[in-house]
Amino acid sequence: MAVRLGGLGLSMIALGIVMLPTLRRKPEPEPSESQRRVFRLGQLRGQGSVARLYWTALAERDSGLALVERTPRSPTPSVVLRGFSPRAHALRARRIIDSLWQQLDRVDTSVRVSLVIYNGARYGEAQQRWQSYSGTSIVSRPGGVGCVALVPSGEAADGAIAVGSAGWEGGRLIHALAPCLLLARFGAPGSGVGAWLTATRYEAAGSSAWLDQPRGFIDGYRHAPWATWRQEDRAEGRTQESILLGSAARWAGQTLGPPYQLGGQGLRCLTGDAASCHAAVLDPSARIAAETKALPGDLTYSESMVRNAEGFALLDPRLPGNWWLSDLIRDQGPEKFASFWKSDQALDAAFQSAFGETLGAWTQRWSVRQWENSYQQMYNPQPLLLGATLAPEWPLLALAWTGVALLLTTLAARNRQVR
Amino acid sequence: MSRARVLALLFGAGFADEAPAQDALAWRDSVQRISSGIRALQDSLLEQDSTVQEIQRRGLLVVYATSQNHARAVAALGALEKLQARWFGGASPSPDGFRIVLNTIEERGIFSAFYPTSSSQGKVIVRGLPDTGNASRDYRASTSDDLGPDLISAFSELMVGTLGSAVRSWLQHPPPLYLDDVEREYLAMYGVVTGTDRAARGCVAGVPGACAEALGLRHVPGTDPTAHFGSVVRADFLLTALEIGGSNAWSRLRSAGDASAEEALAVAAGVPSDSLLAAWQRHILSLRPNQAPLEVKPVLLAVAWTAGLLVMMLGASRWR
Repeated sequence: MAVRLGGLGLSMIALGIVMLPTLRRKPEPEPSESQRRVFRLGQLRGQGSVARLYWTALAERDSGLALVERTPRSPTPSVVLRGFSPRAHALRARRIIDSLWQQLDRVDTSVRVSLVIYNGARYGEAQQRWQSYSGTSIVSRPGGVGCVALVPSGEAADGAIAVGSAGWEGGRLIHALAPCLLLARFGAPGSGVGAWLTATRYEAAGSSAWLDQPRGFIDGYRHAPWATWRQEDRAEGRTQESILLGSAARWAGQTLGPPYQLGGQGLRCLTGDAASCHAAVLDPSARIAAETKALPGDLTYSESMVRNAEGFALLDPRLPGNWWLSDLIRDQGPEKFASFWKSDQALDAAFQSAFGETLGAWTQRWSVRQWENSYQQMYNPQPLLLGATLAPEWPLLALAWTGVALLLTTLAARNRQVR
Repeated sequence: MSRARVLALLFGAGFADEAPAQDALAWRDSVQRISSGIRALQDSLLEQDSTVQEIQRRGLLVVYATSQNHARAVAALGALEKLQARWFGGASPSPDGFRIVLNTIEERGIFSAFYPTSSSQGKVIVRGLPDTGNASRDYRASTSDDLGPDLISAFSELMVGTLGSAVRSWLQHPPPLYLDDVEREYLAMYGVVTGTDRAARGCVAGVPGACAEALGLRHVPGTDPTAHFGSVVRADFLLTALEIGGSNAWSRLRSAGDASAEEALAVAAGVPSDSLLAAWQRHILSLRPNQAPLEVKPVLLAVAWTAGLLVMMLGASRWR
């Protein structure tokens, strides 16, 4: 017994020696003047980038609204270039628009659509076009609806404007035009759906895949549903990183734990709770309204315009994804969707009437399909668990292995016992 | 002022809601104010100060450093000099020279208690003479012990900034010259052979024109714009063009002005575009591994050693 206690004591002392340096914390050095300036520089760059987004959004929106008044009703949108040289041309963008509108089987001419391509360099940025606003202004007028897609671009030496070319320039154009496509095809929404769309700033109307993709296509670049760019959980992530073993522990937590970045409602929805799916579609409007109150109500917004850059907490509501409406059309067909879109009932009632099932039930199916086909689930699968759970096979397995280990030890010990 | 208004100002102002800022001019003023603040801060960070002293000169390159950074600064300057000669033919980002300021910062983590850190707060300045008031300048913070990668990264960014807009836009990001050749080329090879779209597969299979399309040099209408090779592969293609073109390749590339990326790179390499593409494709595909990652012999050896250790451990234990 004395030998065992001695061994234990020695082990404790050895462990203590190893741990000693961690307990004796070195005082953090005061940041130098140069470091303070660097920190301030980072802050200013962040603020400048948000301010530039708002500046471009508001300035171009004003010109866009003026344009709506002047634009005659036409089955195809007009393309307006602002701030470029006289030789500038947007042939690529024109081709894309023509191709999109040709795919519409009918066009509501009470909706006047325009594309405004503006020169980002006018706002003092030669290269960084991602700091300029790209989105849509949707206004209701007595004679119909005006929809103006606003996209920044630059001008090449031959006058070609990059909007519509390969890469993110093309993606941005389609994204800005997507709400206008829905309006052009289905007309002004009914008051129920319209109120939800306005409150969420048309966030779920960002895809045009319903025009040219088959039913089985997985949209949203195979992102997880309910995911957002600001996935960081402000309560959890930073605490883990600072207190535990740095980013490695955080990575392990994110890999082994449930996908908390989808939010509480999203997780419950994925695990089969249709009421959470229902709430998740309807709830984010208040959050979006609060976050974007500095932006006129007719403009769509991007994540980088939101002042609260700290990220989403677990319980913060998130929208399903900007391809949600497009997927709804592809799944249910344009005729049923048109009746949903035009309905004056509240969103959930309109959904039930048009599609014959509840908003929650359909969204739950949609959500699971998207999750199972997302890149995240394919390459970094995370268990969908809620609360403290322990699968029944684990305790049994642990007990069985313990028994085997004990048995082997006993057998080995019996054979080696000195009598 | 009425009493009610005074009370409202005193007690209400603290609870006032955020004022809606829906005026483009107000945001414009904010942008201008913030931009001037950024410029002033950047200028102050780029200034040379009394904490640094000249350590070494190599041709037109001069390095200054705070006392604890001398050795690292000299090593970084050597790396930059080699890089400048190899890829840029000794060129500078501007006839006025350049200046790169690295603010070295000690990174503190929970494990830093276990080992001594050599890095500490300080500054390293590399100047490319004549470094006039109009010289290209860059500033960045460095937390690494080896300052070479940050210095090279800053220099590459300044150099790429002098290229025509078509090449810059095509390249997406400055080439990762801080990586060694083997690492960079394997990254590029991996990007090429794992590409899944039609053009990428065609490039691997040797379909004419497919590599140009997959590299984003030629656009084919109706193709997936997001599926093109990424910036590391493009950078590798650019570096291949520079390597083939020899010491004057960079100056030819810079002189190409607003030519398309494909034309400019062909001019830099001094060969027709298709020959350049073929040479690049041959080289990148030759890097594909031709051996299986696991061979029978090492696996058997590992199993044998494991078994041997287990047997020895069983023999070493004794029951009392």
